[in-house]
Amino acid sequence: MSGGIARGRLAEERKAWRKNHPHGFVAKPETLADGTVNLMIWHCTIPGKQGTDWEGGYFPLTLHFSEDYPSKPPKCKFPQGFFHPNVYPSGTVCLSILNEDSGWRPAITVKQILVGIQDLLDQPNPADPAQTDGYHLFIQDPTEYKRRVRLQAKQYPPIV
Amino acid sequence: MSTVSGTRRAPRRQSQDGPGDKVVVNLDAISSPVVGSRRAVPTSTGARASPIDVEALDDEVQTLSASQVPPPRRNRRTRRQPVAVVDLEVDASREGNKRQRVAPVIHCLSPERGEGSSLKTSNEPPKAKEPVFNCPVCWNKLEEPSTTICGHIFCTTCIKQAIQIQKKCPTCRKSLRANNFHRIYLPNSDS
Repeated sequence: MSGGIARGRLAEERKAWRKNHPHGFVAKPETLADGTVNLMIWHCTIPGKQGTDWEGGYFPLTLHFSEDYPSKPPKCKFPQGFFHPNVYPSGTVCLSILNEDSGWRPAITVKQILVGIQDLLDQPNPADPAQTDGYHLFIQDPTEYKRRVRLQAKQYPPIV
Repeated sequence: MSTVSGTRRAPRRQSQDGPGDKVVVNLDAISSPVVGSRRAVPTSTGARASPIDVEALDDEVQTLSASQVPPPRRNRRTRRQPVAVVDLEVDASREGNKRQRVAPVIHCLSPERGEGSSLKTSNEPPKAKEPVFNCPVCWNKLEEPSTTICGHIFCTTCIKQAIQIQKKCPTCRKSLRANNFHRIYLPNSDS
Protein backbone atom coordinates (compact mmCIF):
# COMPACT_ATOMS: atom_id res chain seq x y z
CA MET A 1 0.00 0.00 0.00
CA SER A 2 2.50 2.63 1.15
CA GLY A 3 5.04 1.48 -1.43
CA GLY A 4 2.40 1.81 -4.09
CA ILE A 5 1.66 5.39 -3.20
CA ALA A 6 5.34 6.41 -3.23
CA ARG A 7 6.14 4.89 -6.62
CA GLY A 8 2.89 6.08 -8.13
CA ARG A 9 3.58 9.62 -6.98
CA LEU A 10 7.17 9.48 -8.23
CA ALA A 11 6.01 8.26 -11.63
CA GLU A 12 3.68 11.24 -11.83
CA GLU A 13 6.50 13.54 -10.70
CA ARG A 14 8.66 12.20 -13.50
CA LYS A 15 5.93 12.89 -16.05
CA ALA A 16 5.39 16.39 -14.71
CA TRP A 17 9.13 17.13 -14.77
CA ARG A 18 9.55 15.97 -18.36
CA LYS A 19 6.57 18.07 -19.37
CA ASN A 20 7.81 21.26 -17.73
CA HIS A 21 10.87 22.03 -15.63
CA PRO A 22 13.02 25.08 -14.83
CA HIS A 23 15.83 25.94 -17.24
CA GLY A 24 19.24 24.57 -16.32
CA PHE A 25 17.96 22.02 -13.83
CA VAL A 26 18.34 18.29 -14.35
CA ALA A 27 16.36 15.61 -12.51
CA LYS A 28 16.16 11.99 -13.52
CA PRO A 29 15.66 8.70 -11.68
CA GLU A 30 18.71 6.49 -11.31
CA THR A 31 19.26 3.99 -14.11
CA LEU A 32 20.60 0.67 -12.88
CA ALA A 33 23.23 -1.45 -14.64
CA ASP A 34 20.57 -3.68 -16.17
CA GLY A 35 18.86 -0.68 -17.70
CA THR A 36 15.91 -0.57 -15.34
CA VAL A 37 14.92 2.64 -13.59
CA ASN A 38 15.00 3.07 -9.82
CA LEU A 39 12.40 5.71 -9.01
CA MET A 40 13.51 5.89 -5.38
CA ILE A 41 16.81 7.63 -6.22
CA TRP A 42 16.99 10.70 -8.45
CA HIS A 43 20.19 12.29 -9.73
CA CYS A 44 19.78 16.05 -10.14
CA THR A 45 21.79 19.10 -11.13
CA ILE A 46 21.14 22.53 -9.68
CA PRO A 47 22.54 25.55 -11.57
CA GLY A 48 23.92 28.44 -9.55
CA LYS A 49 21.51 31.36 -9.75
CA GLN A 50 22.56 34.10 -12.18
CA GLY A 51 23.86 37.27 -10.60
CA THR A 52 25.19 35.44 -7.55
CA ASP A 53 28.61 34.09 -6.56
CA TRP A 54 27.25 30.63 -7.33
CA GLU A 55 26.68 31.51 -10.98
CA GLY A 56 28.38 29.20 -13.47
CA GLY A 57 28.32 26.20 -11.17
CA TYR A 58 26.19 23.11 -11.85
CA PHE A 59 25.98 21.32 -8.53
CA PRO A 60 25.09 17.62 -8.41
CA LEU A 61 22.41 16.66 -5.91
CA THR A 62 20.98 13.24 -5.11
CA LEU A 63 17.42 12.75 -3.87
CA HIS A 64 16.72 9.64 -1.82
CA PHE A 65 13.01 8.84 -1.51
CA SER A 66 11.70 6.43 1.10
CA GLU A 67 8.73 4.09 0.85
CA ASP A 68 6.87 6.56 3.06
CA TYR A 69 7.14 9.35 0.49
CA PRO A 70 5.36 11.69 0.11
CA SER A 71 4.36 11.51 3.77
CA LYS A 72 8.05 11.78 4.58
CA PRO A 73 10.40 14.15 2.71
CA PRO A 74 13.24 12.88 0.53
CA LYS A 75 16.82 13.14 1.74
CA CYS A 76 18.74 15.57 -0.49
CA LYS A 77 22.51 15.22 -0.62
CA PHE A 78 25.26 17.23 -2.27
CA PRO A 79 28.69 15.63 -2.65
CA GLN A 80 30.59 15.09 0.61
CA GLY A 81 32.37 18.17 1.86
CA PHE A 82 30.15 20.55 -0.10
CA PHE A 83 30.84 24.11 1.08
CA HIS A 84 27.65 25.73 2.42
CA PRO A 85 26.57 26.75 5.94
CA ASN A 86 23.42 24.61 5.78
CA VAL A 87 24.90 21.46 4.27
CA TYR A 88 26.15 18.75 6.62
CA PRO A 89 29.65 17.30 6.09
CA SER A 90 27.91 14.23 4.65
CA GLY A 91 26.34 16.44 1.98
CA THR A 92 22.82 16.26 3.40
CA VAL A 93 20.89 19.50 2.93
CA CYS A 94 19.36 21.16 5.98
CA LEU A 95 16.25 23.00 4.79
CA SER A 96 12.93 23.66 6.53
CA ILE A 97 10.75 22.32 3.73
CA LEU A 98 12.79 19.10 3.81
CA ASN A 99 12.32 18.65 7.55
CA GLU A 100 9.28 16.51 8.29
CA ASP A 101 9.03 18.09 11.74
CA SER A 102 8.94 21.70 10.56
CA GLY A 103 8.04 22.53 6.99
CA TRP A 104 7.51 19.41 4.90
CA ARG A 105 4.18 18.90 3.14
CA PRO A 106 3.36 16.04 0.75
CA ALA A 107 2.06 18.66 -1.69
CA ILE A 108 5.62 19.94 -2.18
CA THR A 109 6.87 18.84 -5.60
CA VAL A 110 10.34 17.84 -6.78
CA LYS A 111 10.42 21.06 -8.75
CA GLN A 112 9.75 23.12 -5.64
CA ILE A 113 12.41 21.20 -3.72
CA LEU A 114 15.09 21.89 -6.32
CA VAL A 115 14.20 25.56 -6.70
CA GLY A 116 14.11 25.90 -2.92
CA ILE A 117 17.60 24.44 -2.61
CA GLN A 118 18.84 26.78 -5.34
CA ASP A 119 17.50 29.70 -3.32
CA LEU A 120 19.19 28.31 -0.23
CA LEU A 121 22.60 28.34 -1.93
CA ASP A 122 22.78 32.13 -2.08
CA GLN A 123 20.62 32.76 1.00
CA PRO A 124 22.10 30.63 3.80
CA ASN A 125 20.27 30.39 7.10
CA PRO A 126 22.85 31.24 9.79
CA ALA A 127 20.34 30.34 12.51
CA ASP A 128 20.59 26.67 11.60
CA PRO A 129 24.26 25.84 10.81
CA ALA A 130 25.10 22.37 9.54
CA GLN A 131 28.87 22.63 9.11
CA THR A 132 31.55 24.59 10.95
CA ASP A 133 33.68 25.60 7.96
CA GLY A 134 30.96 27.28 5.91
CA TYR A 135 29.22 28.71 8.95
CA HIS A 136 32.29 30.36 10.49
CA LEU A 137 33.46 31.92 7.25
CA PHE A 138 29.96 33.16 6.44
CA ILE A 139 29.71 34.83 9.84
CA GLN A 140 33.27 36.03 10.45
CA ASP A 141 34.93 36.41 7.05
CA PRO A 142 32.43 37.26 4.27
CA THR A 143 35.22 38.00 1.79
CA GLU A 144 36.84 34.61 2.19
CA TYR A 145 33.39 33.03 2.13
CA LYS A 146 32.68 34.59 -1.28
CA ARG A 147 36.04 33.45 -2.58
CA ARG A 148 35.32 29.89 -1.48
CA VAL A 149 31.89 29.99 -3.11
CA ARG A 150 33.27 31.18 -6.44
CA LEU A 151 36.02 28.57 -6.23
CA GLN A 152 33.43 25.85 -5.68
CA ALA A 153 31.36 27.14 -8.60
CA LYS A 154 34.40 26.63 -10.83
CA GLN A 155 34.87 23.12 -9.48
CA TYR A 156 31.44 22.18 -10.84
CA PRO A 157 31.43 23.43 -14.44
CA PRO A 158 28.50 22.72 -16.77
CA ILE A 159 28.52 19.26 -18.32
CA VAL A 160 28.85 19.84 -22.06
CA MET B 1 9.07 62.55 -74.80
CA SER B 2 6.89 65.63 -74.56
CA THR B 3 7.00 66.22 -78.31
CA VAL B 4 6.09 62.62 -79.03
CA SER B 5 3.14 62.73 -76.64
CA GLY B 6 2.00 66.01 -78.22
CA THR B 7 2.03 64.58 -81.73
CA ARG B 8 0.16 61.49 -80.59
CA ARG B 9 -2.53 63.53 -78.89
CA ALA B 10 -3.22 65.69 -81.97
CA PRO B 11 -4.27 62.91 -84.39
CA ARG B 12 -6.44 61.26 -81.73
CA ARG B 13 -8.40 64.46 -81.22
CA GLN B 14 -8.80 64.97 -84.98
CA SER B 15 -10.24 61.50 -85.40
CA GLN B 16 -12.63 62.04 -82.50
CA ASP B 17 -13.77 65.48 -83.70
CA GLY B 18 -15.45 65.61 -87.12
CA PRO B 19 -16.35 69.32 -87.45
CA GLY B 20 -13.87 71.78 -88.97
CA ASP B 21 -14.21 74.09 -85.98
CA LYS B 22 -12.65 71.50 -83.70
CA VAL B 23 -9.86 70.97 -86.18
CA VAL B 24 -9.05 74.65 -86.00
CA VAL B 25 -8.91 74.44 -82.21
CA ASN B 26 -6.47 71.52 -82.40
CA LEU B 27 -4.18 73.51 -84.70
CA ASP B 28 -3.77 76.12 -81.96
CA ALA B 29 -1.44 75.72 -78.98
CA ILE B 30 -1.70 72.43 -77.02
CA SER B 31 -2.84 74.03 -73.75
CA SER B 32 -5.37 76.41 -75.30
CA PRO B 33 -7.37 73.78 -77.25
CA VAL B 34 -7.97 71.79 -74.05
CA VAL B 35 -9.31 74.84 -72.26
CA GLY B 36 -11.40 75.83 -75.30
CA SER B 37 -13.04 72.44 -75.61
CA ARG B 38 -13.94 72.33 -71.94
CA ARG B 39 -15.45 75.83 -71.93
CA ALA B 40 -17.37 75.44 -75.20
CA VAL B 41 -19.14 72.16 -74.45
CA PRO B 42 -20.85 73.14 -71.16
CA THR B 43 -22.09 76.42 -72.61
CA SER B 44 -23.62 74.74 -75.64
CA THR B 45 -25.56 71.83 -74.03
CA GLY B 46 -25.80 70.04 -70.67
CA ALA B 47 -25.82 66.59 -72.28
CA ARG B 48 -22.31 67.10 -73.61
CA ALA B 49 -21.07 67.77 -70.06
CA SER B 50 -20.76 63.99 -69.39
CA PRO B 51 -18.60 63.37 -72.49
CA ILE B 52 -16.38 66.22 -71.34
CA ASP B 53 -15.76 64.49 -68.03
CA VAL B 54 -15.00 61.30 -69.91
CA GLU B 55 -12.46 63.07 -72.07
CA ALA B 56 -10.83 64.61 -69.02
CA LEU B 57 -10.51 61.18 -67.43
CA ASP B 58 -9.01 59.81 -70.64
CA ASP B 59 -6.45 62.59 -70.76
CA GLU B 60 -5.36 61.96 -67.20
CA VAL B 61 -5.08 58.24 -67.80
CA GLN B 62 -3.08 58.75 -70.97
CA THR B 63 -0.49 60.94 -69.31
CA LEU B 64 -0.01 58.46 -66.49
CA SER B 65 0.28 55.43 -68.77
CA ALA B 66 2.49 57.23 -71.29
CA SER B 67 5.05 58.03 -68.62
CA GLN B 68 4.90 54.55 -67.10
CA VAL B 69 4.43 51.67 -69.57
CA PRO B 70 3.69 51.35 -73.34
CA PRO B 71 1.24 48.38 -73.12
CA PRO B 72 -1.31 50.40 -71.10
CA ARG B 73 -1.37 52.90 -73.98
CA ARG B 74 -2.76 50.21 -76.29
CA ASN B 75 -5.49 49.43 -73.77
CA ARG B 76 -6.46 53.09 -73.71
CA ARG B 77 -6.70 53.24 -77.52
CA THR B 78 -9.23 50.40 -77.53
CA ARG B 79 -11.26 52.21 -74.88
CA ARG B 80 -11.31 55.41 -76.96
CA GLN B 81 -12.77 53.69 -80.04
CA PRO B 82 -16.08 52.81 -78.29
CA VAL B 83 -16.29 56.46 -77.24
CA ALA B 84 -16.34 57.55 -80.90
CA VAL B 85 -19.05 55.05 -81.82
CA VAL B 86 -21.95 55.97 -79.48
CA ASP B 87 -22.14 58.03 -76.29
CA LEU B 88 -24.84 55.92 -74.64
CA GLU B 89 -23.10 52.66 -75.35
CA VAL B 90 -19.80 54.05 -74.11
CA ASP B 91 -21.36 55.20 -70.84
CA ALA B 92 -23.05 51.83 -70.38
CA SER B 93 -19.85 49.92 -71.02
CA ARG B 94 -17.93 52.10 -68.59
CA GLU B 95 -20.56 51.73 -65.90
CA GLY B 96 -20.46 47.97 -66.45
CA ASN B 97 -16.72 47.99 -65.96
CA LYS B 98 -17.06 49.91 -62.73
CA ARG B 99 -19.68 47.48 -61.43
CA GLN B 100 -17.48 44.52 -62.27
CA ARG B 101 -14.61 46.11 -60.41
CA VAL B 102 -16.79 46.58 -57.32
CA ALA B 103 -18.20 43.04 -57.40
CA PRO B 104 -14.93 41.19 -56.67
CA VAL B 105 -14.40 43.36 -53.61
CA ILE B 106 -17.73 42.22 -52.22
CA HIS B 107 -16.91 38.59 -52.92
CA CYS B 108 -13.54 38.93 -51.18
CA LEU B 109 -15.15 40.37 -48.06
CA SER B 110 -17.99 37.89 -47.74
CA PRO B 111 -15.89 34.68 -47.74
CA GLU B 112 -13.53 36.18 -45.16
CA ARG B 113 -16.43 36.89 -42.85
CA GLY B 114 -17.73 33.39 -43.48
CA GLU B 115 -14.39 31.89 -42.56
CA GLY B 116 -14.28 34.01 -39.42
CA SER B 117 -17.71 32.86 -38.38
CA SER B 118 -16.82 29.24 -39.08
CA LEU B 119 -13.69 29.53 -36.92
CA LYS B 120 -15.67 31.07 -34.11
CA THR B 121 -18.31 28.37 -34.29
CA SER B 122 -15.62 25.69 -34.19
CA ASN B 123 -14.11 27.32 -31.10
CA GLU B 124 -17.38 27.77 -29.27
CA PRO B 125 -18.66 24.15 -29.44
CA PRO B 126 -15.94 22.63 -27.16
CA LYS B 127 -18.07 21.12 -24.43
CA ALA B 128 -17.22 21.85 -20.79
CA LYS B 129 -15.91 18.65 -19.23
CA GLU B 130 -16.72 17.72 -15.66
CA PRO B 131 -13.88 18.78 -13.34
CA VAL B 132 -11.49 16.00 -12.34
CA PHE B 133 -10.04 16.35 -8.87
CA ASN B 134 -6.60 14.92 -8.16
CA CYS B 135 -5.26 13.89 -4.78
CA PRO B 136 -2.45 16.20 -3.59
CA VAL B 137 -0.60 13.17 -2.22
CA CYS B 138 -0.63 10.61 -5.05
CA TRP B 139 -1.36 13.03 -7.90
CA ASN B 140 -3.94 10.65 -9.29
CA LYS B 141 -7.69 10.97 -9.55
CA LEU B 142 -9.33 10.90 -6.14
CA GLU B 143 -10.39 7.40 -5.08
CA GLU B 144 -12.89 7.15 -2.23
CA PRO B 145 -12.56 10.88 -1.43
CA SER B 146 -12.20 11.65 2.27
CA THR B 147 -11.95 14.99 4.01
CA THR B 148 -10.01 15.91 7.13
CA ILE B 149 -11.34 17.99 10.01
CA CYS B 150 -9.44 20.92 8.49
CA GLY B 151 -11.39 20.51 5.25
CA HIS B 152 -8.77 19.14 2.88
CA ILE B 153 -9.64 16.25 0.57
CA PHE B 154 -7.54 13.17 -0.25
CA CYS B 155 -7.93 9.54 -1.23
CA THR B 156 -8.92 7.46 1.77
CA THR B 157 -5.78 5.35 1.38
CA CYS B 158 -3.52 8.40 1.07
CA ILE B 159 -4.88 10.22 4.10
CA LYS B 160 -4.68 7.06 6.19
CA GLN B 161 -1.02 6.66 5.34
CA ALA B 162 -0.29 10.34 5.87
CA ILE B 163 -1.86 10.37 9.32
CA GLN B 164 -0.15 7.11 10.26
CA ILE B 165 3.30 8.33 9.20
CA GLN B 166 3.21 12.10 9.51
CA LYS B 167 0.27 12.69 11.90
CA LYS B 168 -0.37 15.98 10.09
CA CYS B 169 -2.56 17.21 7.26
CA PRO B 170 -0.61 16.82 3.99
CA THR B 171 -1.79 20.25 2.90
CA CYS B 172 -1.79 22.51 5.95
CA ARG B 173 0.18 20.45 8.51
CA LYS B 174 -2.60 20.59 11.09
CA SER B 175 -2.23 17.81 13.65
CA LEU B 176 -4.48 14.88 12.86
CA ARG B 177 -5.39 11.62 14.55
CA ALA B 178 -6.57 8.35 13.04
CA ASN B 179 -10.23 9.31 13.36
CA ASN B 180 -9.92 12.92 12.15
CA PHE B 181 -11.17 12.26 8.62
CA HIS B 182 -14.31 10.89 7.02
CA ARG B 183 -15.65 9.78 3.67
CA ILE B 184 -17.32 12.38 1.45
CA TYR B 185 -19.26 12.03 -1.81
CA LEU B 186 -18.45 14.59 -4.49
CA PRO B 187 -21.14 15.45 -7.08
CA ASN B 188 -19.09 14.05 -9.95
CA SER B 189 -17.92 10.88 -8.23
CA ASP B 190 -19.41 7.55 -9.28
CA SER B 191 -18.71 5.65 -6.07
